[in-house]
Amino acid sequence: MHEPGTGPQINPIPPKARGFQGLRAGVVSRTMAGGVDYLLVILTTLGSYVGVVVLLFLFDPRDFHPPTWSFGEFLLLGFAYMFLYLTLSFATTGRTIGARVMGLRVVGRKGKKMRWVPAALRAAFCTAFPIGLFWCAVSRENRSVQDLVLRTSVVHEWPVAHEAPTLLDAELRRPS
Amino acid sequence: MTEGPTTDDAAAADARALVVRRAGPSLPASVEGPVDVALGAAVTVARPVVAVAFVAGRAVEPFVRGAWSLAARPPLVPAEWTPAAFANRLADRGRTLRFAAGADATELTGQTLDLVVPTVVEPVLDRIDLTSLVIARVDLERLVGAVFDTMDLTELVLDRVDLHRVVTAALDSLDLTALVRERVDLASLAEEVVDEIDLPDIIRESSSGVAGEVVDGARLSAVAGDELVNKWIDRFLQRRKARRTQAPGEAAPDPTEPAGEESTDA
Repeated sequence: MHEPGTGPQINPIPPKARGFQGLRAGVVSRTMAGGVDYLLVILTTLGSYVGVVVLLFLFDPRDFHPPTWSFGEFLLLGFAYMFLYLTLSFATTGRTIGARVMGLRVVGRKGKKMRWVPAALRAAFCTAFPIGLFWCAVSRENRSVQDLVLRTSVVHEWPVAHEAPTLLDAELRRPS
Repeated sequence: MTEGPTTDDAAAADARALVVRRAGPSLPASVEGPVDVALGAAVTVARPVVAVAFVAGRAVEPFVRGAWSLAARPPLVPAEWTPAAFANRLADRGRTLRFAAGADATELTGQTLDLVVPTVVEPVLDRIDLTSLVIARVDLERLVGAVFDTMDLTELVLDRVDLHRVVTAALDSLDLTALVRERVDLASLAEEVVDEIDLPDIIRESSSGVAGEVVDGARLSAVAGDELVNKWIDRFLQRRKARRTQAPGEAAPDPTEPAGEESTDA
Protein backbone atom coordinates (compact mmCIF):
# COMPACT_ATOMS: atom_id res chain seq x y z
CA MET A 1 0.00 0.00 0.00
CA HIS A 2 1.42 3.34 -0.96
CA GLU A 3 1.48 6.28 1.37
CA PRO A 4 -0.26 9.36 0.02
CA GLY A 5 2.08 11.21 -2.29
CA THR A 6 4.46 8.29 -2.79
CA GLY A 7 2.38 6.23 -5.20
CA PRO A 8 2.82 6.01 -8.96
CA GLN A 9 2.40 9.49 -10.35
CA ILE A 10 0.62 10.43 -13.51
CA ASN A 11 3.00 11.50 -16.23
CA PRO A 12 1.14 14.37 -17.89
CA ILE A 13 3.56 14.53 -20.82
CA PRO A 14 2.07 12.96 -23.95
CA PRO A 15 3.74 9.70 -24.96
CA LYS A 16 4.96 11.20 -28.24
CA ALA A 17 6.90 13.89 -26.37
CA ARG A 18 8.46 11.69 -23.70
CA GLY A 19 11.29 10.47 -25.91
CA PHE A 20 13.08 13.79 -26.20
CA GLN A 21 12.54 15.16 -22.70
CA GLY A 22 15.90 16.20 -21.25
CA LEU A 23 17.61 16.43 -24.66
CA ARG A 24 19.01 19.71 -25.98
CA ALA A 25 16.55 21.57 -28.16
CA GLY A 26 17.19 22.47 -31.79
CA VAL A 27 17.22 25.76 -33.56
CA VAL A 28 13.55 25.83 -34.58
CA SER A 29 12.17 25.36 -31.06
CA ARG A 30 14.58 27.87 -29.61
CA THR A 31 13.94 30.45 -32.32
CA MET A 32 10.20 30.18 -31.78
CA ALA A 33 10.68 30.63 -28.03
CA GLY A 34 12.95 33.59 -28.68
CA GLY A 35 10.36 35.05 -31.04
CA VAL A 36 7.75 34.97 -28.31
CA ASP A 37 10.17 36.63 -25.88
CA TYR A 38 11.13 39.34 -28.38
CA LEU A 39 7.46 40.02 -29.05
CA LEU A 40 6.81 40.42 -25.35
CA VAL A 41 9.77 42.74 -24.87
CA ILE A 42 8.77 44.87 -27.87
CA LEU A 43 5.20 45.12 -26.57
CA THR A 44 6.49 46.02 -23.11
CA THR A 45 8.77 48.70 -24.57
CA LEU A 46 5.97 50.21 -26.63
CA GLY A 47 3.67 49.90 -23.64
CA SER A 48 6.20 51.80 -21.58
CA TYR A 49 6.16 54.66 -24.09
CA VAL A 50 2.36 54.70 -24.03
CA GLY A 51 2.43 54.69 -20.22
CA VAL A 52 4.76 57.66 -20.15
CA VAL A 53 2.54 59.52 -22.59
CA VAL A 54 -0.54 58.87 -20.47
CA LEU A 55 1.23 59.96 -17.29
CA LEU A 56 2.44 63.19 -18.91
CA PHE A 57 -1.07 63.91 -20.10
CA LEU A 58 -2.51 63.34 -16.64
CA PHE A 59 0.05 65.58 -14.98
CA ASP A 60 -0.34 68.53 -17.39
CA PRO A 61 -3.19 68.08 -19.83
CA ARG A 62 -3.16 71.71 -21.02
CA ASP A 63 0.46 71.87 -21.97
CA PHE A 64 0.64 68.26 -23.20
CA HIS A 65 3.11 67.36 -25.90
CA PRO A 66 3.86 63.66 -26.61
CA PRO A 67 7.53 62.92 -26.00
CA THR A 68 9.68 62.01 -28.94
CA TRP A 69 11.99 59.03 -28.33
CA SER A 70 14.64 58.17 -30.80
CA PHE A 71 15.02 54.63 -32.14
CA GLY A 72 18.20 54.32 -30.08
CA GLU A 73 16.29 55.17 -26.90
CA PHE A 74 13.66 52.55 -27.71
CA LEU A 75 16.44 50.07 -28.43
CA LEU A 76 18.22 50.86 -25.19
CA LEU A 77 15.02 50.43 -23.17
CA GLY A 78 14.28 47.21 -25.00
CA PHE A 79 17.75 45.87 -24.22
CA ALA A 80 17.32 46.78 -20.57
CA TYR A 81 13.99 45.04 -20.41
CA MET A 82 15.39 42.01 -22.21
CA PHE A 83 18.37 41.77 -19.85
CA LEU A 84 16.22 42.02 -16.71
CA TYR A 85 13.62 39.65 -18.08
CA LEU A 86 16.12 37.01 -19.12
CA THR A 87 18.11 37.27 -15.88
CA LEU A 88 15.00 36.83 -13.78
CA SER A 89 13.77 33.96 -15.93
CA PHE A 90 17.08 32.05 -16.06
CA ALA A 91 17.76 32.37 -12.34
CA THR A 92 14.27 31.62 -11.04
CA THR A 93 12.54 28.99 -13.15
CA GLY A 94 15.01 28.55 -15.98
CA ARG A 95 12.20 29.41 -18.36
CA THR A 96 11.24 32.59 -20.15
CA ILE A 97 7.63 32.82 -21.21
CA GLY A 98 8.63 31.81 -24.72
CA ALA A 99 10.54 28.84 -23.32
CA ARG A 100 7.54 27.85 -21.25
CA VAL A 101 5.30 27.99 -24.31
CA MET A 102 7.73 25.84 -26.29
CA GLY A 103 8.47 23.46 -23.41
CA LEU A 104 12.11 24.45 -23.02
CA ARG A 105 14.32 25.15 -20.02
CA VAL A 106 17.74 26.70 -19.59
CA VAL A 107 20.01 24.70 -17.31
CA GLY A 108 23.52 25.14 -16.07
CA ARG A 109 26.62 23.03 -16.46
CA LYS A 110 25.27 20.18 -14.32
CA GLY A 111 21.79 20.27 -15.76
CA LYS A 112 20.31 22.25 -12.87
CA LYS A 113 18.94 25.73 -12.44
CA MET A 114 21.42 28.57 -12.97
CA ARG A 115 22.58 30.86 -10.19
CA TRP A 116 22.12 34.61 -10.41
CA VAL A 117 25.54 35.70 -11.72
CA PRO A 118 25.75 33.17 -14.55
CA ALA A 119 22.12 33.91 -15.33
CA ALA A 120 22.91 37.64 -15.63
CA LEU A 121 25.95 36.91 -17.76
CA ARG A 122 23.95 34.70 -20.09
CA ALA A 123 21.13 37.28 -20.25
CA ALA A 124 23.62 40.00 -21.20
CA PHE A 125 25.22 37.76 -23.82
CA CYS A 126 21.85 36.86 -25.33
CA THR A 127 20.74 40.49 -25.38
CA ALA A 128 23.94 41.75 -26.96
CA PHE A 129 24.49 38.88 -29.39
CA PRO A 130 21.15 37.28 -30.19
CA ILE A 131 22.39 35.84 -33.45
CA GLY A 132 24.60 33.51 -31.43
CA LEU A 133 21.48 31.38 -30.98
CA PHE A 134 21.71 30.12 -34.53
CA TRP A 135 24.99 28.37 -33.88
CA CYS A 136 22.92 25.60 -32.27
CA ALA A 137 21.85 24.55 -35.76
CA VAL A 138 25.50 23.91 -36.64
CA SER A 139 26.77 22.70 -33.26
CA ARG A 140 26.94 18.92 -32.89
CA GLU A 141 25.57 19.32 -29.38
CA ASN A 142 22.79 21.76 -30.26
CA ARG A 143 24.60 24.50 -28.30
CA SER A 144 24.40 28.19 -29.13
CA VAL A 145 27.45 30.45 -28.79
CA GLN A 146 26.19 31.49 -25.35
CA ASP A 147 25.86 27.86 -24.36
CA LEU A 148 29.40 27.10 -25.53
CA VAL A 149 30.89 30.02 -23.67
CA LEU A 150 28.90 29.66 -20.45
CA ARG A 151 28.55 25.85 -20.64
CA THR A 152 24.78 26.02 -20.38
CA SER A 153 22.13 24.01 -22.21
CA VAL A 154 18.60 24.55 -23.40
CA VAL A 155 16.69 21.32 -23.00
CA HIS A 156 13.23 20.04 -23.77
CA GLU A 157 11.37 19.92 -20.48
CA TRP A 158 7.67 20.35 -20.89
CA PRO A 159 6.27 22.15 -17.89
CA VAL A 160 4.04 20.06 -15.63
CA ALA A 161 2.06 20.79 -12.50
CA HIS A 162 3.97 19.37 -9.51
CA GLU A 163 0.79 18.98 -7.52
CA ALA A 164 -0.46 16.18 -9.77
CA PRO A 165 -2.16 13.72 -7.39
CA THR A 166 -0.93 10.18 -7.01
CA LEU A 167 -3.32 7.52 -8.21
CA LEU A 168 -4.12 6.12 -4.79
CA ASP A 169 -4.46 9.44 -3.00
CA ALA A 170 -8.13 9.71 -3.82
CA GLU A 171 -8.89 6.31 -2.35
CA LEU A 172 -6.78 6.80 0.75
CA ARG A 173 -8.33 10.16 1.48
CA ARG A 174 -11.82 8.71 1.31
CA PRO A 175 -13.38 8.28 4.77
CA SER A 176 -13.53 4.60 5.68
CA MET B 1 -28.51 -29.54 4.61
CA THR B 2 -27.21 -28.48 7.94
CA GLU B 3 -26.10 -31.87 9.29
CA GLY B 4 -22.66 -33.21 8.60
CA PRO B 5 -21.85 -36.68 7.22
CA THR B 6 -21.16 -38.13 10.72
CA THR B 7 -24.68 -37.34 11.89
CA ASP B 8 -26.09 -38.86 8.70
CA ASP B 9 -24.11 -42.10 9.25
CA ALA B 10 -25.38 -42.44 12.83
CA ALA B 11 -28.96 -41.92 11.74
CA ALA B 12 -28.57 -44.56 9.03
CA ALA B 13 -27.16 -47.10 11.53
CA ASP B 14 -30.06 -46.49 13.92
CA ALA B 15 -32.54 -46.94 11.10
CA ARG B 16 -30.91 -50.21 10.03
CA ALA B 17 -31.07 -51.61 13.57
CA LEU B 18 -34.73 -50.66 13.81
CA VAL B 19 -35.56 -52.34 10.50
CA VAL B 20 -33.75 -55.61 11.41
CA ARG B 21 -35.39 -55.78 14.82
CA ARG B 22 -38.84 -55.45 13.34
CA ALA B 23 -38.16 -57.86 10.46
CA GLY B 24 -37.84 -61.08 12.54
CA PRO B 25 -39.67 -61.62 15.83
CA SER B 26 -37.27 -63.39 18.18
CA LEU B 27 -38.20 -66.76 19.78
CA PRO B 28 -38.11 -67.37 23.52
CA ALA B 29 -34.68 -68.57 24.62
CA SER B 30 -36.04 -71.92 25.91
CA VAL B 31 -37.49 -72.76 22.49
CA GLU B 32 -34.60 -71.55 20.35
CA GLY B 33 -32.25 -74.44 21.28
CA PRO B 34 -34.56 -77.37 20.43
CA VAL B 35 -35.74 -75.67 17.29
CA ASP B 36 -32.17 -75.20 16.10
CA VAL B 37 -31.39 -78.88 16.86
CA ALA B 38 -34.48 -80.03 14.94
CA LEU B 39 -33.60 -77.87 11.97
CA GLY B 40 -30.04 -79.18 11.89
CA ALA B 41 -31.23 -82.80 12.04
CA ALA B 42 -33.79 -82.24 9.27
CA VAL B 43 -31.21 -80.69 7.01
CA THR B 44 -28.73 -83.48 7.75
CA VAL B 45 -31.29 -86.18 6.91
CA ALA B 46 -32.93 -84.39 4.01
CA ARG B 47 -29.76 -83.91 1.97
CA PRO B 48 -28.99 -87.65 1.32
CA VAL B 49 -32.69 -88.44 0.86
CA VAL B 50 -33.05 -85.78 -1.81
CA ALA B 51 -29.85 -86.93 -3.51
CA VAL B 52 -30.99 -90.57 -3.59
CA ALA B 53 -34.45 -89.59 -4.86
CA PHE B 54 -32.88 -87.51 -7.61
CA VAL B 55 -30.64 -90.35 -8.79
CA ALA B 56 -33.50 -92.88 -8.61
CA GLY B 57 -35.81 -90.53 -10.54
CA ARG B 58 -33.27 -90.13 -13.31
CA ALA B 59 -32.81 -93.95 -13.45
CA VAL B 60 -36.54 -94.77 -13.74
CA GLU B 61 -37.44 -91.85 -16.03
CA PRO B 62 -37.09 -93.81 -19.37
CA PHE B 63 -39.28 -96.62 -18.03
CA VAL B 64 -41.94 -94.19 -16.82
CA ARG B 65 -41.92 -92.37 -20.17
CA GLY B 66 -42.30 -95.67 -22.09
CA ALA B 67 -45.09 -96.85 -19.77
CA TRP B 68 -46.97 -93.53 -20.20
CA SER B 69 -46.69 -93.70 -24.00
CA LEU B 70 -48.03 -97.23 -23.96
CA ALA B 71 -50.86 -96.30 -21.61
CA ALA B 72 -51.80 -93.12 -23.53
CA ARG B 73 -52.01 -94.84 -26.92
CA PRO B 74 -52.56 -98.57 -26.30
CA PRO B 75 -52.36 -100.80 -29.38
CA LEU B 76 -55.52 -102.12 -30.95
CA VAL B 77 -57.64 -99.31 -29.44
CA PRO B 78 -59.33 -96.80 -31.79
CA ALA B 79 -57.60 -93.39 -31.68
CA GLU B 80 -60.60 -91.48 -30.33
CA TRP B 81 -60.87 -93.90 -27.45
CA THR B 82 -57.30 -93.70 -26.27
CA PRO B 83 -56.49 -91.90 -23.00
CA ALA B 84 -54.40 -89.36 -24.99
CA ALA B 85 -57.40 -88.36 -27.11
CA PHE B 86 -59.49 -88.14 -23.98
CA ALA B 87 -56.86 -85.89 -22.34
CA ASN B 88 -56.76 -83.66 -25.46
CA ARG B 89 -60.52 -83.21 -25.41
CA LEU B 90 -60.35 -82.23 -21.75
CA ALA B 91 -57.56 -79.74 -22.52
CA ASP B 92 -59.60 -78.17 -25.37
CA ARG B 93 -62.55 -77.73 -23.13
CA GLY B 94 -60.44 -76.21 -20.36
CA ARG B 95 -58.74 -73.84 -22.82
CA THR B 96 -62.10 -72.61 -24.14
CA LEU B 97 -63.28 -72.02 -20.62
CA ARG B 98 -60.06 -70.17 -19.75
CA PHE B 99 -60.35 -67.79 -22.72
CA ALA B 100 -64.01 -67.13 -21.95
CA ALA B 101 -63.30 -66.41 -18.34
CA GLY B 102 -60.07 -64.46 -19.07
CA ALA B 103 -61.61 -60.99 -18.99
CA ASP B 104 -63.55 -61.76 -15.86
CA ALA B 105 -60.48 -63.20 -14.27
CA THR B 106 -58.42 -60.07 -15.07
CA GLU B 107 -61.10 -57.84 -13.63
CA LEU B 108 -61.42 -60.07 -10.64
CA THR B 109 -57.65 -59.97 -10.19
CA GLY B 110 -57.65 -56.17 -10.36
CA GLN B 111 -60.43 -55.94 -7.79
CA THR B 112 -58.68 -58.42 -5.59
CA LEU B 113 -55.43 -56.45 -5.79
CA ASP B 114 -57.33 -53.23 -5.03
CA LEU B 115 -58.59 -54.83 -1.92
CA VAL B 116 -55.51 -56.74 -0.90
CA VAL B 117 -52.69 -54.27 -1.63
CA PRO B 118 -53.89 -51.42 0.62
CA THR B 119 -54.84 -53.88 3.29
CA VAL B 120 -51.38 -55.45 3.23
CA VAL B 121 -49.16 -52.51 2.31
CA GLU B 122 -50.56 -49.89 4.67
CA PRO B 123 -49.99 -51.88 7.86
CA VAL B 124 -46.56 -52.80 6.52
CA LEU B 125 -45.74 -49.16 5.92
CA ASP B 126 -47.08 -48.28 9.35
CA ARG B 127 -44.63 -50.72 10.85
CA ILE B 128 -41.50 -49.59 9.07
CA ASP B 129 -39.74 -46.21 9.06
CA LEU B 130 -39.56 -45.85 5.29
CA THR B 131 -37.43 -42.71 5.43
CA SER B 132 -34.84 -44.39 7.62
CA LEU B 133 -35.03 -47.47 5.44
CA VAL B 134 -34.35 -45.45 2.30
CA ILE B 135 -31.55 -43.55 3.99
CA ALA B 136 -30.04 -46.82 5.23
CA ARG B 137 -30.46 -48.92 2.11
CA VAL B 138 -30.49 -46.56 -0.86
CA ASP B 139 -27.34 -45.03 -2.33
CA LEU B 140 -28.85 -41.57 -2.44
CA GLU B 141 -25.77 -40.06 -4.00
CA ARG B 142 -25.98 -42.43 -6.96
CA LEU B 143 -29.71 -41.97 -7.21
CA VAL B 144 -29.51 -38.16 -7.20
CA GLY B 145 -26.57 -38.27 -9.60
CA ALA B 146 -28.56 -40.45 -12.00
CA VAL B 147 -31.53 -38.10 -11.72
CA PHE B 148 -29.36 -35.07 -12.39
CA ASP B 149 -27.80 -36.84 -15.35
CA THR B 150 -31.19 -37.20 -16.95
CA MET B 151 -32.22 -33.56 -16.59
CA ASP B 152 -30.84 -30.17 -17.61
CA LEU B 153 -30.77 -28.55 -14.20
CA THR B 154 -29.79 -25.12 -15.53
CA GLU B 155 -32.70 -25.09 -17.93
CA LEU B 156 -34.98 -26.30 -15.16
CA VAL B 157 -33.89 -23.52 -12.80
CA LEU B 158 -34.21 -20.89 -15.52
CA ASP B 159 -37.66 -22.21 -16.34
CA ARG B 160 -39.05 -22.75 -12.86
CA VAL B 161 -37.22 -20.32 -10.57
CA ASP B 162 -38.01 -16.61 -10.32
CA LEU B 163 -34.39 -15.61 -10.40
CA HIS B 164 -35.13 -11.92 -10.13
CA ARG B 165 -36.87 -12.48 -6.81
CA VAL B 166 -34.16 -14.78 -5.55
CA VAL B 167 -31.35 -12.40 -6.45
CA THR B 168 -33.22 -9.39 -5.09
CA ALA B 169 -33.88 -11.17 -1.81
CA ALA B 170 -30.23 -12.22 -1.60
CA LEU B 171 -29.02 -8.70 -2.29
CA ASP B 172 -31.50 -7.26 0.22
CA SER B 173 -30.11 -9.51 2.91
CA LEU B 174 -26.49 -8.54 2.19
CA ASP B 175 -24.56 -5.36 2.91
CA LEU B 176 -22.76 -5.54 -0.37
CA THR B 177 -20.63 -2.46 0.22
CA ALA B 178 -19.34 -3.79 3.53
CA LEU B 179 -18.78 -7.19 1.96
CA VAL B 180 -16.74 -5.72 -0.89
CA ARG B 181 -14.70 -3.58 1.51
CA GLU B 182 -14.03 -6.61 3.68
CA ARG B 183 -13.27 -9.15 0.96
CA VAL B 184 -11.84 -7.17 -1.95
CA ASP B 185 -8.34 -5.68 -2.03
CA LEU B 186 -9.52 -2.41 -3.49
CA ALA B 187 -6.05 -0.91 -3.76
CA SER B 188 -4.70 -3.79 -5.87
CA LEU B 189 -7.85 -3.80 -7.93
CA ALA B 190 -7.57 -0.06 -8.55
CA GLU B 191 -3.93 -0.45 -9.57
CA GLU B 192 -4.81 -3.24 -12.00
CA VAL B 193 -7.60 -1.17 -13.51
CA VAL B 194 -5.33 1.84 -13.86
CA ASP B 195 -2.70 -0.33 -15.52
CA GLU B 196 -5.28 -1.64 -17.97
CA ILE B 197 -6.86 1.64 -18.98
CA ASP B 198 -3.99 4.11 -19.32
CA LEU B 199 -5.59 6.50 -16.84
CA PRO B 200 -2.85 9.12 -17.20
CA ASP B 201 -3.70 9.48 -20.87
CA ILE B 202 -7.39 9.92 -20.07
CA ILE B 203 -6.64 12.51 -17.38
CA ARG B 204 -4.29 14.31 -19.71
CA GLU B 205 -6.86 14.41 -22.48
CA SER B 206 -9.65 15.54 -20.19
CA SER B 207 -7.60 18.19 -18.37
CA SER B 208 -5.83 19.74 -21.33
CA GLY B 209 -8.13 21.97 -23.29
CA VAL B 210 -8.05 23.03 -26.90
CA ALA B 211 -5.33 25.60 -26.14
CA GLY B 212 -3.21 22.87 -24.56
CA GLU B 213 -3.58 20.70 -27.63
CA VAL B 214 -2.58 23.63 -29.88
CA VAL B 215 0.51 24.28 -27.75
CA ASP B 216 1.41 20.58 -27.73
CA GLY B 217 1.01 20.50 -31.48
CA ALA B 218 3.22 23.57 -31.91
CA ARG B 219 5.91 22.08 -29.71
CA LEU B 220 5.88 18.76 -31.57
CA SER B 221 6.00 20.58 -34.90
CA ALA B 222 8.95 22.62 -33.68
CA VAL B 223 10.75 19.45 -32.62
CA ALA B 224 10.10 17.96 -36.05
CA GLY B 225 11.50 21.18 -37.55
CA ASP B 226 14.58 20.88 -35.33
CA GLU B 227 15.26 17.40 -36.58
CA LEU B 228 14.76 18.41 -40.19
CA VAL B 229 17.15 21.38 -39.95
CA ASN B 230 19.71 19.26 -38.09
CA LYS B 231 19.50 16.59 -40.78
CA TRP B 232 20.00 19.12 -43.59
CA ILE B 233 22.95 20.78 -41.93
CA ASP B 234 24.57 17.48 -40.94
CA ARG B 235 24.21 16.30 -44.52
CA PHE B 236 25.62 19.56 -45.82
CA LEU B 237 28.59 19.26 -43.45
CA GLN B 238 28.91 15.57 -44.35
CA ARG B 239 28.64 14.42 -40.76
CA ARG B 240 28.21 10.74 -40.24
CA LYS B 241 27.75 10.56 -36.49
CA ALA B 242 24.53 11.54 -34.80
CA ARG B 243 24.35 14.67 -32.68
CA ARG B 244 25.04 14.42 -28.95
CA THR B 245 21.99 16.12 -27.57
CA GLN B 246 21.97 14.47 -24.16
CA ALA B 247 22.01 17.24 -21.60
CA PRO B 248 24.56 17.12 -18.81
CA GLY B 249 23.72 16.14 -15.29
CA GLU B 250 20.33 14.53 -15.38
CA ALA B 251 19.92 11.97 -18.16
CA ALA B 252 16.19 12.43 -18.53
CA PRO B 253 14.71 14.63 -15.85
CA ASP B 254 11.62 13.29 -14.16
CA PRO B 255 8.92 15.78 -15.04
CA THR B 256 7.23 15.27 -11.69
CA GLU B 257 10.36 16.25 -9.74
CA PRO B 258 11.12 19.94 -9.23
CA ALA B 259 14.65 20.82 -10.28
CA GLY B 260 17.04 21.74 -7.50
CA GLU B 261 19.34 24.76 -7.56
CA GLU B 262 22.78 24.18 -8.92
CA SER B 263 25.52 24.66 -6.36
CA THR B 264 28.34 25.61 -8.71
CA ASP B 265 28.06 27.01 -12.15
CA ALA B 266 30.19 28.62 -14.77
